[in-house]
Amino acid sequence: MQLKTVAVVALACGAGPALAATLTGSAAMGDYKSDAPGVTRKITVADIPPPMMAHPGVAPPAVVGRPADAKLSLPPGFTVSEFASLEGPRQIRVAPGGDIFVAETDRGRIRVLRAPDGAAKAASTDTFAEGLDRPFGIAFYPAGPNPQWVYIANANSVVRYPYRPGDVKARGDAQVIVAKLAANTKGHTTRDIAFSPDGRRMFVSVGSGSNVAESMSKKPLDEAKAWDAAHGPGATWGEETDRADVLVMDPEGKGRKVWAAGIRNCVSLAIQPVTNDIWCATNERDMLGDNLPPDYVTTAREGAFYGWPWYYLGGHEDPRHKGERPDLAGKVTVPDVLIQAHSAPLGMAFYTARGGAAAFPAAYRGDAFVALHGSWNRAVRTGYKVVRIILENGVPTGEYQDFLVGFVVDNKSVWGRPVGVAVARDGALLVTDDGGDKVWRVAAAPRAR
Amino acid sequence: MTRRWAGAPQHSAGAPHPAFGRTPPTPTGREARCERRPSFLFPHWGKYRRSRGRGLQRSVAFAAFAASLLAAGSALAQPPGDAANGASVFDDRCTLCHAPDGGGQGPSLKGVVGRKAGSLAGFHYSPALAGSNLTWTAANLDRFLAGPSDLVPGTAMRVILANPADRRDVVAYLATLKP
Repeated sequence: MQLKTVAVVALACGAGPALAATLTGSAAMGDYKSDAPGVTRKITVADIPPPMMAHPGVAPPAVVGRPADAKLSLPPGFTVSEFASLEGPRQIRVAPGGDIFVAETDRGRIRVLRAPDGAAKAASTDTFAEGLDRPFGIAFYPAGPNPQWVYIANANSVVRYPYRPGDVKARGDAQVIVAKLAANTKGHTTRDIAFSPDGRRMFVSVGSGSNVAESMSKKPLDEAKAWDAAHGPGATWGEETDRADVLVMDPEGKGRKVWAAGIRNCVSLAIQPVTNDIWCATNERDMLGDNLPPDYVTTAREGAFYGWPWYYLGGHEDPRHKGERPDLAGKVTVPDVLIQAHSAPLGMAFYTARGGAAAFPAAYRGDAFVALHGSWNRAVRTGYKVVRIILENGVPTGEYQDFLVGFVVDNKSVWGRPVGVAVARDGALLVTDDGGDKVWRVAAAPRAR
Repeated sequence: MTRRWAGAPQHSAGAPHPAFGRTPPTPTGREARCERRPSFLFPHWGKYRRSRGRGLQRSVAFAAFAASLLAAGSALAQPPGDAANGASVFDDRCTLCHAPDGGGQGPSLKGVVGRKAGSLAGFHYSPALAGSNLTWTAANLDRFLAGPSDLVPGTAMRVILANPADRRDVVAYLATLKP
């Protein structure tokens, strides 16, 4: 591929370094060696290579203890502290009152952290609920300062606990809102929840049961079209029914339908604060090469089809489903922000703080932060960092910028793996790390604001 | 969920769910006792240690114990448990990383029972697992699946099978996977 680096924009960002250029084309498809705070990348559909069916022969990283010389890097004016130690912390959400809810997914627990505004470390850790089945998604309902419920998404169900601000332990039994999301929990098991700001809709993201629906039965085209007519464009069937999508229903779990389909694994949902659109941080498929297909962060548009498993990024047909769905070729929505392939975007949060002891400069307001858990299906590691998604007046520019980097030791080893991001009451950005079993807190120094 | 909490009554939206809000049942009886002795090091030692200090009997017992170690590979080839149910649990919980044909995020598990931990050529194991000096006996697999990072702090393996019956069945299934 032609190597090109083009100066596209010089971003005006108060605390960031002077940005010479946005990396584009193949130069944007970097690995951990080119990571540095402020490095900005923009990947477009025109940049993607053709599919390559060979497996690069690599594996997940070894997670090692933090090396003595390991250093996390941030743009100037930001500091990072070790906020808490937990067991496999994953999704993180902040309650309206400021208490910090964290899913210890593999332990089946929801923990609550509490800290005074401005504190570098959490003051207390409580267990809100336990005995859950791989809990991940957390959402408070209704919106506003006095939510009545905490919703939790398990691997295959949605439950809710009665809640009053300040509770650090569930005050009552869980109610089952959705008893069963899919036929089984094969494959991807994180489920996230978000409510529309008007409180009428509950979104639930459900990842696919496989890499690329290898064992989903083949339907003749007329049957596939009939299925689409009944379930929405690009809906999957068999064990993949109601998977690789975002579901929508009311907060009681009624009126369930597919909101957006063909999204292989939307790990985190987030409501965009300007437009109130629902967004997804999505992991795309494996085994098509080091730079294909890009992962993505996107608005999940109602009724849209994002391609999985037959296509990716518009009408690019997946070679493993060649010729199966010509009817869908022109119906594939291209996602908003393409992220380096195999980066594994998991957690996502829009930066909404308008003040507070640790608040970021105004230039960050309305942008999003995404945690990249890091690659395995790639020759040279990529991800293992937190990036900033650039939006202008609520519209994504397609660029993303390294924000918190430094978890990679070498191509075989890492000492941390970012999972979830959330904005604390004091404006700090909290980042869970299930490699190092930590919660990190990023604060802006007063002079940076 | 239904498998893990088999026997839980059906419930409807809005009703309290019996499985939530409480800790999963702790292992009792045989399993609990198994957890307390170091069976992961010497799975058959308990059968022989009662004869300690009785001369000839002790020697015979030791020989039998040693023989059992030599035979461990074959003796463990079919541990107790429902391999068919184990296959189903495995399919649900394990195949995303441990793909049946290899090439996934986790190592191939063909022939894992009896194998030295972290020893499959070509797979990049965590230093923790590679240096664990464990052999995947049925007992070790059971302990690992109950809490991978409890047994091997620093392992990349995350999945926990909290239900002892599921673990026993999965181990029985793994024993059917030949290299």
